[in-house]
Amino acid sequence: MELEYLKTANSIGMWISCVPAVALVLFQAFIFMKRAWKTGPKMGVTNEQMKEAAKSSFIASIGPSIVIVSGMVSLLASVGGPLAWMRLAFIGSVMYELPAADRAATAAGCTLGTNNMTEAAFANAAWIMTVCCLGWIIVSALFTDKMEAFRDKVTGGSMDAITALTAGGGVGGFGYMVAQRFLPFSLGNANMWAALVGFIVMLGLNFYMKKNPGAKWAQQFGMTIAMFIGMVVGAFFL
Amino acid sequence: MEKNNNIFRSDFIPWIVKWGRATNLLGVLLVFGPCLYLGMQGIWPSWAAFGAAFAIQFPMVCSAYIREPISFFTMLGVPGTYMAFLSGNISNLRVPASSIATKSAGIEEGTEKGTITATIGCAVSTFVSTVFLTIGVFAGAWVLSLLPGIVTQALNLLLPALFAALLANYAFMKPNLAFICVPAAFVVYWLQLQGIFSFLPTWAASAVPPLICSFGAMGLGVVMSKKGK
Repeated sequence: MELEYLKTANSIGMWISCVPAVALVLFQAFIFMKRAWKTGPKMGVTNEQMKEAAKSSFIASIGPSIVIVSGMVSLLASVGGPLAWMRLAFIGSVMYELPAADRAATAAGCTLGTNNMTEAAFANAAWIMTVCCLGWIIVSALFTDKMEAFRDKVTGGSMDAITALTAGGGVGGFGYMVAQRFLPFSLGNANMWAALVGFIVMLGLNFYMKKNPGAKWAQQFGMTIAMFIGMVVGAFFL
Repeated sequence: MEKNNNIFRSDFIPWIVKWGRATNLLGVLLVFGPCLYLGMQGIWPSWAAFGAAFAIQFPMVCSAYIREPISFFTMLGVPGTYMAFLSGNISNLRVPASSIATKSAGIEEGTEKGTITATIGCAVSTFVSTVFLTIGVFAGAWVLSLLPGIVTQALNLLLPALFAALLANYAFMKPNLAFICVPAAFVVYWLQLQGIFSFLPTWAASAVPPLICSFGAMGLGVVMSKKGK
């Protein structure tokens, strides 16, 4: 039988209250993309390049989107469809939302997904998930343009310095995230093997692309290929 | 500097900033939709419980408000940053999608042309993930129950492989930098596991190590570039 609080959580009214936020995300993506598409050719970005960009990001987004959906399923059982859907399409990340809902329910003396959940505890989860995600959107709304100015100041407008800054952000940020998958070291760690193989395959593809600049398939699908092979090899260690 | 940067700087970016700020601030209001709906039904949390949960949850996430925009900005660019923080799932979807879009067009990341392709990549990933989530919210549980257990377990390995593939791309851009910074990131995380950072308050203990890695590598990258390495 459906839990009492989930009837409220899955009600039509909840759906209606969640739609505007998700619609805003789509609206913003749509107008930004339209503007980029219009501006690109005036800056020397060809239509072909923009089409390549759209096509390859489309293909590469499928795998991670499935991972997000599988994360949503666990959230679905705890906070109902509408809220799970909105939280993952809007500001939220799989990594943050479930713990947030769980802590909110616990603080209200209840356990998510069980029949001791009250509607007030569910409301607590909704409020905590909402209030705790505000920081990201407020910081991005107010400071994104300042970051641009700051970046220009740091690099002095030098193209090579901007590339170095981007590479540094990537190497430092993802280096740390990969280290989290490697350590503590254990030969049976499937995460480590997935990461190691993903890294080697992508590095190999980069060398290949440097030698064969015309290799379109590697440019388009390289990341998807590396991600997939990494996952498959890692699965042998599960 | 790139040529034609006038359109980019005088037209594109100001337009994006204007609309990005407006849409993200509107997002601040819209995110309260479900809370208000529950309130209209007379369902409110106990504010004591709210305070208790907030006191635990907020310190765990607040450092990410600062760390994530700074770490990912150089990869996403201005439009991508607005989009990524409105739609969420930044490191696991928006950054890879922007990066792949730019790379597939044969453009260097972080450049002005790269910002155009990153915008397209980020927007496309938003459409894809929203469609998947919408299908998933109705059919996800059913589809996942059809998959064998090994497949759902293996799906969790997609992200480590993706993060490592991105690392390989950035390492390839500046190999000398990567030779120093990747081992350094491992050392920083290892030190974190040893409890070196546990003297810090909880909210800082989890944020400082990744910030050291990101800032350290960005700073070193700029210094090395200015020295012509």
